[in-house]
Amino acid sequence: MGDRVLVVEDDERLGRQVRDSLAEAGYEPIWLRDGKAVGTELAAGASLIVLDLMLPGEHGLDVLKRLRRDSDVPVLVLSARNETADKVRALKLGADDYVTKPFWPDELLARVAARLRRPTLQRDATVRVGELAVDLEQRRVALAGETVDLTRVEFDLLAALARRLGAAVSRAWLAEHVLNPDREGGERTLDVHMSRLRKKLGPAASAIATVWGVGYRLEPPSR
Amino acid sequence: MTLRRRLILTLVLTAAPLLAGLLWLRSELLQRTMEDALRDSILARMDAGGRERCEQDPVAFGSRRFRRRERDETAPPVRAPWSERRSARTRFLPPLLQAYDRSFQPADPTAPELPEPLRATLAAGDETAALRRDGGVLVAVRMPWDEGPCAVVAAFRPDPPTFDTPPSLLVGALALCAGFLAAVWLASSPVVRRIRALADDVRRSAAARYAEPVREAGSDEVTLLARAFNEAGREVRAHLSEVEEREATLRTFVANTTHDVMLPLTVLQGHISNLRRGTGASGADEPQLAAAAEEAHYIGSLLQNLAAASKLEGGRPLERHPLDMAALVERVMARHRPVASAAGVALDHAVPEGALWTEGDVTLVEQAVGNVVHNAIRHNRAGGHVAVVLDEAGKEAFRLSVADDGPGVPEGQRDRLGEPRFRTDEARQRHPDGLGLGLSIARDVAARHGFTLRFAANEPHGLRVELSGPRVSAETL
Repeated sequence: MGDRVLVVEDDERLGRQVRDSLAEAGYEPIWLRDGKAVGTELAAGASLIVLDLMLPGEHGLDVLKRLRRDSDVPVLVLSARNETADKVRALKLGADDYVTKPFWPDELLARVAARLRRPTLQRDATVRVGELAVDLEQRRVALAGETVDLTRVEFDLLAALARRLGAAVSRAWLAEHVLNPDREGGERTLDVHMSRLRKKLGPAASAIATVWGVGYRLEPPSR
Repeated sequence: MTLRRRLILTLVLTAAPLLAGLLWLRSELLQRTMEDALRDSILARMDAGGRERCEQDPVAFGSRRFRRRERDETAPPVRAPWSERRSARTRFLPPLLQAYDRSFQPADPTAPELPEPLRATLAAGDETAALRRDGGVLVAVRMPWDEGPCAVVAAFRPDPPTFDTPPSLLVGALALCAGFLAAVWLASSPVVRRIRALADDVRRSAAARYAEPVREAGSDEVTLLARAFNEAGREVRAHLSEVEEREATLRTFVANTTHDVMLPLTVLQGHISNLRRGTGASGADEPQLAAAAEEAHYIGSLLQNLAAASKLEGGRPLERHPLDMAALVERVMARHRPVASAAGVALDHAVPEGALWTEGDVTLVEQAVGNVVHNAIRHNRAGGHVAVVLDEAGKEAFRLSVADDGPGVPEGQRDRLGEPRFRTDEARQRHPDGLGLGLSIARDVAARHGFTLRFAANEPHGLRVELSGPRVSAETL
């Protein structure tokens, strides 16, 4: 079973939709229609709380204030009033993120996933994508157990992508942080290094995607 | 001209002719008195034996004493001028009398002629005629009798020294004038001071949007002015608050309406999403569902843009808070990925690791960036790309670029992107219902934040929009 997500939403239709899409995405949603129902025990058992602000009985911000007294559970605020003051207050009271209505179910899921993923971000020293293993501490790359001989720049390039597995890294960032600006600068040089790296990685190189207009991305292994 | 200068000038302009008039009146009165005295003296002397003496010896009558001095009997008679026909010590002796018959002919050949104006006056029937000449006054009187050589008697008296305006009188008049000036100065001082104080009060009151009334001390015209100003201020204030109230009502109405629409719109987007998932990408309804998704998204962003526009046009100061551009880009990406996928456009992005802080109104900046991204998706075609890249531009700035490989915007029209209600020809063709609001809000938001928004061509085709602005370091937060 996936992470338990508390959904506090008074509107029947929206509440049901949010609950269903969370369930479909593999989470374990618990839907509450009233802010008063959010107790310490429920909060303690949840990995994340999706909290609407305009609630009958107790306002979302008051629920948040009460929650923060004894809980660190991440809170994602749903706001219909696209007001800066509301967002700033919610963040000050300890909310972690907010989503403004109208939102797409996928948008909400992306925000939820981002919140739940963050704390466990790449603790391992070795990043594995299929047969490719990048040991960030030992500065070693292996393909199906066989060490691949990489130059410093090639390794740094791969390591930069591995450190942010699944996220695109811009060419400008790579050029600035990976290349030696005195000798090698320039994004053209970056492409040369990348093509050499890809050649050395063989079929495993397909995990490194060229992202149009952005740069490169190391694709995570598909589930 | 100040009030005090005006008062003094008025005083000088009125006092000078008044003083001259008074001096003239004085000399006129003096002369009249002299004439009367001379006439009375002539009449009295003629009455007291003068007539008899005159008629006895009319030749010697007027010039007796004069003759006695001359004593030249042989010399031919010479008509002496009037100024010499006077006593040697004029001040203390009565003036010499000169006798004429009814046709103004003197019996004495040395007697001066009676001047024409006097003759005319007497001939007209007047009893007395007077004439100023040779520094004195000449008076001719018709006697109560009409016969003989002494029917008309004249006398000349030089002006006494006091007749001219004495210096002391001038000094006195000047002193009086100076006194008046000083009085005006002193009297106007408190008035001027009060008017100046009132002017300061009015300025202060206006600066406080007429919330502060001006002081109404005293009971004179200045107080009246202050009271009138306070009344006007109350009117203005009432009007102002009415306008403000109306504006606030309108804002609340827009906010409430927006809020009421957002919930069903979210539900609608959920339904569309579910339907698309149900039919799959190859379903027969997919094109319609994708279009529905785009329209629903457009309605949502239009409402947010209207709210942003009312916020920008209200002229209220920005709410400035530290904001993380990286997190903002992530939110914008999550929001637009569903519409991008519905449109078949690949939307990708890169942000630096960790937060990238700047300062601003997060709602407005997010809306601006969202508009640029939505624009890139909306004007692209299936199979196209949109790339959003946030980078550090040195230690001091951030740079966000949104590039697409859509049709792009011709150079001539690119400069006008972001102008209110400007739409490219291509946009008008593909989305005839649009307002061109999105980019103009992006431009306004950038301008209000001191950010730079630039439009450039993306090679080989497409548009590249760059937003850059200052960073604030994490320590200052």
